[in-house]
Amino acid sequence: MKPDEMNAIVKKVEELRALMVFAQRTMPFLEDVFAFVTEIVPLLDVLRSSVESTSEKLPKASKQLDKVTTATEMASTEILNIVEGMYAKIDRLRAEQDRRHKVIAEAKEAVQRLGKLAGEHRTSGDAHAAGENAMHLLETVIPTAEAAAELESIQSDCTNIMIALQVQDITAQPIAAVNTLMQSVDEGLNRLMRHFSKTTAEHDESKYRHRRLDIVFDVSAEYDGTGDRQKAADDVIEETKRNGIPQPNRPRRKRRH
Amino acid sequence: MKFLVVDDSLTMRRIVINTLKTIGYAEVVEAGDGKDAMAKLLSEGADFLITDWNMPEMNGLELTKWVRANAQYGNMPILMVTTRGNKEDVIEAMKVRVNNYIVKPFTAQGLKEKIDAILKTVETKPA
Repeated sequence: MKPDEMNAIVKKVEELRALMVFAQRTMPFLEDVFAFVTEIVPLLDVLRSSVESTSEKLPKASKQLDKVTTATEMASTEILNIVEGMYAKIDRLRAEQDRRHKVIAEAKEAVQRLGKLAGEHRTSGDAHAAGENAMHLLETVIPTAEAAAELESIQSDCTNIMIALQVQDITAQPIAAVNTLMQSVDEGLNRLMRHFSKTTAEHDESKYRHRRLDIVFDVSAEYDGTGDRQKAADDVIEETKRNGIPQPNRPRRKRRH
Repeated sequence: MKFLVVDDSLTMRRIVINTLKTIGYAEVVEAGDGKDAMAKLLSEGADFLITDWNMPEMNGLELTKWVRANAQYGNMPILMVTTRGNKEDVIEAMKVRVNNYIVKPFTAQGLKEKIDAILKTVETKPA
């Protein structure tokens, strides 16, 4: 063996030794990595199945929201039908009261004329008494002011019930907003799923399209019966009328000296 | 006086129309969005517009802009009835020249007061 060849073998052995030292040093680290991967794989599997199951549940939840909005709308419609029916009945009762007023006024006039005729013909006192009795009876069947006030009060109650039904329109809007939010969460989960599995399933928008949830909504809509929001709006209107419409704040330019 | 009530919610339209009737205004035309309202205004006419803000096709702000730019109905009284109650929203509505603004839920008394206030301003405004 030539000295050059001997040197080459020694060099190779040195390199091998260095490699073994390196392998010896990195072995614990590789063991840690292996242990980590062994632990993380089942976890990723759990995560994948969890994402999958959540993604499946979201369209069902959307359907449930649609059911809530549909039920609320149907109930509101039914109540409105009843309230409108009550308004019609109140109108009929008022018309009937007016008719009675007229009939009784005419009957009283007739009784008065009869009394006058009885006086002119000097009929017995019984005729006078009968006339007075008839007048008294007529007075008792005249619709009273209290009855009119009662009708007014019932109409006011109907209006208050109807006004409260605005809750349907107001709550439908945040519900529609939640539906949109769920749709975008589902879309995000779907993208995530593509990293975990070979699925090519696309996010299905139609699962979130329900007629009653597919509306133009205001996220901030709230049923606030205190009147505070109206008061705040009125203040802005007053301020606008006094001082004009405020201009948007523009960034100030620095003065050059 | 003929009212045009515009809202994409049928329930809300019925509530506004019935409330108008209880406060003495029985003549009402209704529309489900801004575009529908434009067509109704041109075909049936109206003296007073009550409109929602959030609607499909054409919203209440766009409808108001169109009405204000219309030669025949430019000075028509407009009341916006909406769930939007932020300061910026009210300012936005005032910019397109609505006459007044109601935040839902409204009361019958509140609606009456706003209509009366608008009519008073319109009547007293010099020609």
